[in-house]
Amino acid sequence: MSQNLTYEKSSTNTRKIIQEGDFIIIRRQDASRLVQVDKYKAAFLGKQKLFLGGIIGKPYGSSFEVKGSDLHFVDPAKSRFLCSSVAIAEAQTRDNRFLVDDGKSQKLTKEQIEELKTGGVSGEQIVENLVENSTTFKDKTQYAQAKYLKKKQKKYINHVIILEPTTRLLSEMYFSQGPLKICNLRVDSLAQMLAMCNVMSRGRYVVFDSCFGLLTAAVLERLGDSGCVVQVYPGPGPTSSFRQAVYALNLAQEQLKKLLVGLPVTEAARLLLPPSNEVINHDKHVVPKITGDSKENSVEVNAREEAEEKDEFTSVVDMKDCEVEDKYESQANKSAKEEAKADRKAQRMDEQKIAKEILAVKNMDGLLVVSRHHPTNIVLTLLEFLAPSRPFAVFSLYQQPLVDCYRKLKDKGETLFLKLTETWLRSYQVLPDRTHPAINMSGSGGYLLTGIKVEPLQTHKKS
Amino acid sequence: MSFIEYRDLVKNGDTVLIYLSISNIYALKITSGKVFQTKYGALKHDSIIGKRYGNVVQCSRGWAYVLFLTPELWTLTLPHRTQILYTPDISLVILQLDLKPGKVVCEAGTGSGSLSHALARTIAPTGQLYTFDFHEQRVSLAREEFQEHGLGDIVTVQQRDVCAEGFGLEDIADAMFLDLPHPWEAIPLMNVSFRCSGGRLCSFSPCIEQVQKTCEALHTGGFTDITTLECLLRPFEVKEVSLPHLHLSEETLNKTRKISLESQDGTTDVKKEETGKINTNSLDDTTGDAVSFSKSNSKRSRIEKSMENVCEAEWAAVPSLQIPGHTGYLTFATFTHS
Repeated sequence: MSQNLTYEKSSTNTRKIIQEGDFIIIRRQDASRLVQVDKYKAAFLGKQKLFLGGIIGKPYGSSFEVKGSDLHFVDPAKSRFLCSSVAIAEAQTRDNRFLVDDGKSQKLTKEQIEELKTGGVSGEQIVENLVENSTTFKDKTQYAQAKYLKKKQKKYINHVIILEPTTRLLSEMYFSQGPLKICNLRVDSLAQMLAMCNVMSRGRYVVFDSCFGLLTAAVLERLGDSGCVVQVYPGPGPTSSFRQAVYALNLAQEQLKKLLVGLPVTEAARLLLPPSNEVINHDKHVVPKITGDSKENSVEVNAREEAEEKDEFTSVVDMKDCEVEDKYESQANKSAKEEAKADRKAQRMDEQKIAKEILAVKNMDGLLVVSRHHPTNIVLTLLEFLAPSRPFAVFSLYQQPLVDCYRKLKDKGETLFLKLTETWLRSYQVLPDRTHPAINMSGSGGYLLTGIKVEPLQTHKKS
Repeated sequence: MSFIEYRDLVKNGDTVLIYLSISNIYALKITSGKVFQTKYGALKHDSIIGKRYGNVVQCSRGWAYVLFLTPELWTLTLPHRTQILYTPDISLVILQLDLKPGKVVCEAGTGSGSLSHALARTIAPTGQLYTFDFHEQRVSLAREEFQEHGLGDIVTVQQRDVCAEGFGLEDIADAMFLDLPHPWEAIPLMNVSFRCSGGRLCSFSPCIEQVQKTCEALHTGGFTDITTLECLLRPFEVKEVSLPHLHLSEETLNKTRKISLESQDGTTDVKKEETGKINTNSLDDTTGDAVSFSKSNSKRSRIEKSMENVCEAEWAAVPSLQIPGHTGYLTFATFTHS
């Protein structure tokens, strides 16, 4: 019927390889974790201690079997078989009328199973043995058989898959670790924000992010190698984890420097003050500690930074060993740390300077806000930096603050398409004759206020 | 005009969004010399050229806003040639397919191009979208639109029956989107089109039976991470609501009792006096518009009024009474070559 297209095949058509220093996502069953590959340092997945030496040089997307604390490469065809063998079972005909829970159905004793485990028998063989020695297995319904297999496989076959972090995987990971950590920003809400703000390469976006840099990372991912993000944060300095998800994207240092700058929201707000105040501001960011509002303020900055140094890479990237070392660190180490700290501060000041220059033009292409603070003032302030005819999206875990924000924006009269929405996301179990919505679902993915900024109506009145 | 690069000023030939009100929006191709008739009178294209996007333009009997057209606004205004996907589904598809600049996507079918515009925006400027439809006229109309919207370099559109023939592309796709009546027939033909690093696939189907067959085909085809999702938008109307409280304090109860006793007496003088008092108590005469004036002297309404008190109006988000309850199921899966 139709001819095939002529097209250029991609020149970089190779699988990406896992390297030392990469941020990766380790996934097992329903748990996943973000870690940085370091062949000398153990990573933790739940209570499981893992050494990652075995994954270096293997392609992303590979499966590995956990033996002790080491990871062993698993042939892709084999891992796929394991994944799908459980999922598909034929329509059931038997029922469970003869099943009695008497604790005698398994003929293998605990000791025998232990023996198998320590004897170096693979997980799959153990499960096979268990099935063979289960008196009730063949009487179970197909569904129950599948469930049994899954349960035993989970217990004895310990496979993990190593994935390259993407917005989708990061979002899934953070959400599964505790939705409140990221303000309940569910994947569908994040997706709406990116679409409603028309995030694309070459765009310039203002991002206010209270979720480990997840929103910032999502925008950055869609910029490719051109455009820019001004990441605005509350308080005088950023929190230590404000770019955790950003670093997870494994972008080159230079690229990150080109695309991303940070700025305290107070500094952004100062840009909007009348010019008389501007002069003082200007000095402030050159020598931030001497001038400025008050001594108290700078002390606060110091205290905050001190605290941040300590919990660098908190929670998600597990670095317990690292903390232990801290206590015994040598003097030389300390001074190196001081230096690194000074470097970071200098970089932050550079970023602030550039960020201010970018914002001052008031020609940004979009505003995205996920905040732990009340959104109204943040939005009213940051909206000033948007060019007309540019969209914005504000997320909140709660509905009422967005109602307030909606009213203030309506009163101001500089927005069109102002909409308060939420999305409802439901996942399905799809199996032959057993398809139904998932038993548990997330009750809310938060609320979204979206709109488009326009020039205010001043001289024009409806005739 | 280009969907993939913002511009500040309107140029002749741009397709723009004309906003008269939330329910009166139009995508309009600006052609010098032409006039667009609106409910606020004539809008001369020449009066729009040179204006800054986001500004007001003058019609003969009113004004309108001129906005830069984004894929999301295009979805709201495009000419429907088929059923289309809307932004809640589109945005989830883009995120779940791991799309970003440089990615190569295959789409079937093109339909009205609602999703295609959003896909192209996300993978631009270095990515490629190959989109197919078995309907000849749809293909040529879509091709014209992509060209006009500055997406010609990114989007390739061709007539093809993907269900029967596959994409006809080898070793190239990072992601695939299928909106086909029988996706399970196409899935076995997809493997060759994925690049060697594998990729993501999404199938959109309105019916659960289709999903069932699709998921089986995906299992058989060696796909992993198969998930089926449904995403619905719940809009809220933000408005002022005021619900009068019913006062049930001892004082009010005594008062209502008094009224019922008085009306049994039938003394009209006392009745009037009391009504006055009750009214000051309820602060606002307009309380309960529903109570008509003719009834306002009846015993029943007086008792009701004495118990009510106007509360302060509150701003609330009120869910829409009727919303789309189903669009389609989105099934996602990962493909890895073995």
